[in-house]
Amino acid sequence: MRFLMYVVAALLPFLLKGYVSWLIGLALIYATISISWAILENEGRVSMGHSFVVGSSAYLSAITYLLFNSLAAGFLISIPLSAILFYILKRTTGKTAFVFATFTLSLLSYVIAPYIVIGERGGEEGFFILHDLPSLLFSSFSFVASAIVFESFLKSKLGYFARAIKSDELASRAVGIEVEKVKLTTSVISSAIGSFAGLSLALYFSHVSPEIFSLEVSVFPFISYVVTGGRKEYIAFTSIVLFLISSYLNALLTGAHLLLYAMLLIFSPKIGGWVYAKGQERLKV
Amino acid sequence: MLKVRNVSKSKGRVMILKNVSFDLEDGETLGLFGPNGSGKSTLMKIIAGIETPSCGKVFLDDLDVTALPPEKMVKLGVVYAFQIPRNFREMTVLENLAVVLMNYHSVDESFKLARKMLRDWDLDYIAERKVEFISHGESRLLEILKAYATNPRVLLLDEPFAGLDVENVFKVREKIERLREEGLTMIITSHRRGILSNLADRFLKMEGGKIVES
Repeated sequence: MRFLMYVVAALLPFLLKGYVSWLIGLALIYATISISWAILENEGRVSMGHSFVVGSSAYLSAITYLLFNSLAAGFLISIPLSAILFYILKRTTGKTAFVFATFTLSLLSYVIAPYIVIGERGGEEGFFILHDLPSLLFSSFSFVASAIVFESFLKSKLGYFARAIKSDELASRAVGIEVEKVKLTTSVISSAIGSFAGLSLALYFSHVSPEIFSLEVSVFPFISYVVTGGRKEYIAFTSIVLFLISSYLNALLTGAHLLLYAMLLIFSPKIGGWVYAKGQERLKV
Repeated sequence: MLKVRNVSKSKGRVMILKNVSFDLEDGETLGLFGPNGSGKSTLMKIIAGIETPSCGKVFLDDLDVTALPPEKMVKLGVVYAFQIPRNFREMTVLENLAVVLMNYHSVDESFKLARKMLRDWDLDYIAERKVEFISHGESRLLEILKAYATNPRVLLLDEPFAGLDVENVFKVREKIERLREEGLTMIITSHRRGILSNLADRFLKMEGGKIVES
């Protein structure tokens, strides 16, 4: 059923026309970001620095396109970034969760990005990518591919290990689960999907600017997750709906969507509590 | 098989273990008893790699395994069942067991084996329940079963009867007796010696971080 919903969502932009089609195409990219985020959450890591993953892929793609006329090079470089980052932080701190470190990194990228200049390009304006690639098709494809990876991940050994680690890291280690290996692997998978989303964004706008590192990109998956009430398997659909509502509100009044985000966060325990209570009723045997 | 040599452990200024040494033979069940706070759990956790000793060594078949992480100890066949069951809250009973078996089998195979094991331990009626909806006794049995699912050579059971009513003590005891009949090497702790009678081949009494009676 969920797979059918993914396919319908991916086909929607092609069935509709004009601005709505464009907007849903963009919503699919944001849903892909959320999927990338949910893979880490499945293991108990709440990433508040996901804009770094997305932004670095977009920026690197734009830069390698400018320098070598290759989008793929930048995208491929960005995939192992999370894993490398995880490894460095693990070695330096001895920990395996870095909410504040990645948040700070994301914030730093946002501050530094306007100073990235190559020749006369870049800076606050960012980089243009003049291409004739079918960006809508690419965003739909990235979405479906990410969704398939996500669903397979949830049902895989790795997905189960990740859930066990989220529940209790020490107990997981005590039954032989290699926590660091699982975390490293999920970092790579999440990073790969996030990089796909970053490249999709760069292609979609034919442009990347420092805004791609903004906290809004980092916070969006978290808010989508809050709306699902913890049922991460629905995060992609929630993200699409949330993105469309946000865009509508933003069109009515600039920044109004931030009010919606704030309200969702304020009321999140109630939303989560309600879904949790329903879940408990359903699970009682 | 397992040798503990001069193991001490201090936390801050408090000495929790003082120069503890003992041997455990293959197929033997050792009963470790003593009052609360005597250092039994700390000793078990050190053997399992969950805690590191301040000094001293642990050997498994003459191999120095001191301070190896718990996941490595499980691979070597030493597994610890927690005093307060630490089952995976977000998962069902079946998933809890299957995820352990996934270390050795495919996902489908693990679920099949987990169902079989739950049936063998008369826990199949709670297979689909999340662990937060099972009783303390069931939770305790699941904790032991998870440890057993790693196919251990040495099973460390920390206070397996703590907080259980008479009926559940009987159930847990019955399962431990079964493991003993299978020839599994075990260390079982309790604050009462009586509850370990007929379960252990040998007893060690701990008090104030030391072995005071053997």
